[in-house]
Amino acid sequence: MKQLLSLLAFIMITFTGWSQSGYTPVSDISGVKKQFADKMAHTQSLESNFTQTKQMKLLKENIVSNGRFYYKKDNKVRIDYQSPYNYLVILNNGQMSITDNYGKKTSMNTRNSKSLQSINKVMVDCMSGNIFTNSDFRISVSKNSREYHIEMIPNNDDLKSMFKKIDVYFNLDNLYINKMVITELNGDITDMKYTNVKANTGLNDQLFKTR
Amino acid sequence: MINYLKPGSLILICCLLLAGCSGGRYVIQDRNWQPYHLEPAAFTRHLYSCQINGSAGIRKYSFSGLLLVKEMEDGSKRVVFQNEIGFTFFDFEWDTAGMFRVVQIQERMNKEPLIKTLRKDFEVLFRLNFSAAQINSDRTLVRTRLLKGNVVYETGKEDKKNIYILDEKERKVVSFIIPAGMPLSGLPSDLTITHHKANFGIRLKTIPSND
Repeated sequence: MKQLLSLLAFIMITFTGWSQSGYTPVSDISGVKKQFADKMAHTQSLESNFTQTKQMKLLKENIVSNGRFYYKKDNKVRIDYQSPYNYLVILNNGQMSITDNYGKKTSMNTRNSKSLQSINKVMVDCMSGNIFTNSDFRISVSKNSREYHIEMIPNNDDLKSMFKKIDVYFNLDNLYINKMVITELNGDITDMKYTNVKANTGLNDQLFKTR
Repeated sequence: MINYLKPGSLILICCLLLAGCSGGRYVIQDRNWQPYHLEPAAFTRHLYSCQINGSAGIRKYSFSGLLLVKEMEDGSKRVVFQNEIGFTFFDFEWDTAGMFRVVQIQERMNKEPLIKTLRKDFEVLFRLNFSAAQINSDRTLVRTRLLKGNVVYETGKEDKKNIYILDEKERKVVSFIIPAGMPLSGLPSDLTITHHKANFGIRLKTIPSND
């Protein structure tokens, strides 16, 4: 009887866990890859609002910030934090610029640093949906009725020393990014939710000027 | 004009320039110190936008992030520095007895002199781990002894609440410049820390709470 109860409890816990996440593994990864490649072939640019929540578990502390995100083919990303602080990151074909809350601008060439290159690539790939070609990560795909969940576990030592994994969620209908969750080694989580995503709005190159 | 460029004059100019680069002296004329009870700073949570500037040899560096200072429910204190995107650079803890511990630190920042310097800065701000303090006769300065030198807190006039770490010869080693009108009891909303010998500085500006 005890064994039966344990078994029932186990099934219930497993079922609850499964239904809460609701994601089932996708075996046809090449099919998903093709779907994303087709979509990206027709996507020249993306722009959206974002809300970033940094959850520090041990400190029971969340830090929430908001801003605008822009992507333009090829390899151009602009992340513009606007509240409660100003912080602007621009990635443009290997060049990177950061303007901090004090208005100080720093420009650098990511080609001079392996770790910066990896971060640059993962940012661009996550935004563009081109993550299947990124060899810095071991990738698995699952989905539910609303979105694809791509789990990315770092392969290279630089990235491994920075975070445990990145989970990216794409809208199942239009394949635009919904959410990116970065889990650090200590279990802290940075969650970036993208809303009001618009494609092909003809973004001006000036937005991605790094110098 | 030529006279000014004679070797003797050049040495004098160099000395003046060097004196200008250092923090200068903090002349304490009053030597009539009386025992004083210096309370630790009272605070619950502060989130700062933080910029660190410095130079190593001829190379200048500057980076920014968010600095969270928090008193936990058990009375311990935590200082977490992370970049705006969410990666943690360091996480320091002082337990209720004032014992210091590095909870987490990025490999590149894991240098003993750097940790020691940052620890001292925060302990000066928190007024932690100090020997007995003394106050001068007109009650405008409180000092507390360090192993080498003193920490001086300006306590008198409303518009002068700066803090200085002085060496044995009363030369400024570190200046904590605090805007006018800040209460002495807690932590300042804005602050500039300048390390005159180590050639680096920290700027802190409070980020408004999300609540």
